Amino acid sequence: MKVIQFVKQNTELVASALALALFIGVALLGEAFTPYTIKDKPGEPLQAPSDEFPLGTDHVGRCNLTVLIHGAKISLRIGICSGVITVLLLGVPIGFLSGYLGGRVDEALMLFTDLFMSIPRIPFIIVIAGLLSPSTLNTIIVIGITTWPSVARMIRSETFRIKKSGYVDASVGFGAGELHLFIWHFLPTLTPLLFSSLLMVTGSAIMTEAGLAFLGIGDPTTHSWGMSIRLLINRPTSYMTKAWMWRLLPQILAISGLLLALASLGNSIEKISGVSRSGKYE
Amino acid sequence: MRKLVRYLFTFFTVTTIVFFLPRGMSGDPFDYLSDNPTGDVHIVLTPEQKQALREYYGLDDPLLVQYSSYISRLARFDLGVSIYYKQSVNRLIASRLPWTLLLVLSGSILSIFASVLLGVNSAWRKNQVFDRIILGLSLVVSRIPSFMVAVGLIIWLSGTYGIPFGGAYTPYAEYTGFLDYIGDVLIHLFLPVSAFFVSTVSDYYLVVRNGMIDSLEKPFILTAQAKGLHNRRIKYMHAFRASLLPFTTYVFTRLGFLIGGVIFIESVFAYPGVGSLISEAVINRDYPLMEGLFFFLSLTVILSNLSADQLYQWIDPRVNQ
Repeated sequence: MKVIQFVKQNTELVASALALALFIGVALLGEAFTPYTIKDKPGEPLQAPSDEFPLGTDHVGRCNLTVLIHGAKISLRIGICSGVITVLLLGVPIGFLSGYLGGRVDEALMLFTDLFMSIPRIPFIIVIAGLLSPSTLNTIIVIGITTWPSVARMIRSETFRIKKSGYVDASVGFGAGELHLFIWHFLPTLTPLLFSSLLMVTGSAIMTEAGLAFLGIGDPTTHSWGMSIRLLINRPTSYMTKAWMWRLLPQILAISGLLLALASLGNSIEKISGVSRSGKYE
Repeated sequence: MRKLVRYLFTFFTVTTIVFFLPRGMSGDPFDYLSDNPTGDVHIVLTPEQKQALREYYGLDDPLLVQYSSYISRLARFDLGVSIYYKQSVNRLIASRLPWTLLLVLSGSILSIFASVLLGVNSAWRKNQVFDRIILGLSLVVSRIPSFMVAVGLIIWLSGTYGIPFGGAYTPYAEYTGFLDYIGDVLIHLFLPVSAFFVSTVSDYYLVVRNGMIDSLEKPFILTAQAKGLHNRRIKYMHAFRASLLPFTTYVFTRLGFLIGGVIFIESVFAYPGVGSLISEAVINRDYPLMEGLFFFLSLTVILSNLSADQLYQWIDPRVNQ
């Protein structure tokens, strides 16, 4: 009974968590259930969907369904890795130190953050990704160094708000040390924000990776969703056929479904915990 | 004043990063010119020729000498000469910029109008059918990468109605008059602008809707209703006006990023704008072009931030006090 009540009260949370779990499950286990791997070229090139190939084949005879499932793995890997690097290694430490210490440290760190925020993001990513040799790791690094400032800002304003709150003052009055404050007051309050920004960065990293792969500056050896679209439009005759139904639409549905699941999970975490990214309370 | 110093500092650092970064990487423009496996240039340069070219372009000078000449050039707004195109970078950007501006400005104006109309009415009918449909649709649409929207539009509209989807005008066309030319440009603009519109409108819409929801809860709305004002007047002149501030700031800060950010749409439609110039510069390792473009794009971002600040003060003079 309690489960039903929980689901009824938090429909968005449960639905988006289930959708995300589905994507992760397909990414982890999907390839075990397809008869081919990404390296196999079992069919004739450029075939329409059939019983054997539900989404047809691409220009070298790969099964498009296998490529789609493989793409989920690549997107999630890059998304989650960039999310963890951006949020846990850069955004949270910088934002927390800035908000907690304040004063000169805050000023210096915020100058640094503003600097990174006013860099034209997409051109910068393209220039760096184009100059570094294309690989998954470099894509992750590039996304990390361009996305952390917004996370640092959010964490800073939230930390600042906690620091000024009455319960921290009271705790200090009872003789609480810095470690105690961090573990019992800052960490629990910051955790929902941490998760929601992790989800946000993961989503934006997946979007950026798709874009880079589409422009041809991602990792050329991986077969991501962006790369599939690139391969499709490099063959202009496919515009005149129905190929979009099995080579474009599944990718669009997959990426927007995944990003929607990530966004609404983050959104519902914020709603339930009562914080919002802009630091306002609802 | 303090802000201006910050902007100048940012600007200086960014231009410095862009100068040192490519020079720290292996390979230089001449390696790429002479044996570029994907490019359409097939010339083979001997090591002596490469060395002579490096000397000609000053790329074998010590880094600090190169850097000081780079800074002194920038101070005079001279962005140098592109190695790949053999044209001045200023002129290259000037020839591409009008197309990007045409695309970004016309697309933004459409987006802003639609988002204000949808956002205001959506917030007015919060949680009703209209609001739920528009909100749900905008959440889904904003998650589709712009290049996928662009490709989808090509297949849908170009395939069935024959709307042109490459370039900004018909090559080698002979126009009967000025109107004919304008018509040709507009029909080429149609698909890129539609893609731009679809990929930006939902973000603007969400900002308008959130601002409206905040201001609709304020007491002055109740006063306006009590005075018996017409609903349309309350919506646009009272509630929306109060939420104009965050929206304008958002629009202006976003505008600066969009000039460089339309690269995906420009690349799908082979639109001859600034965005497609960036990827060409990167692929050819054209240092002066890359530096020049980056200088220019950072300048637009900073200028749009500055104008957002100025507008903010103009709309709400309390900020200064």
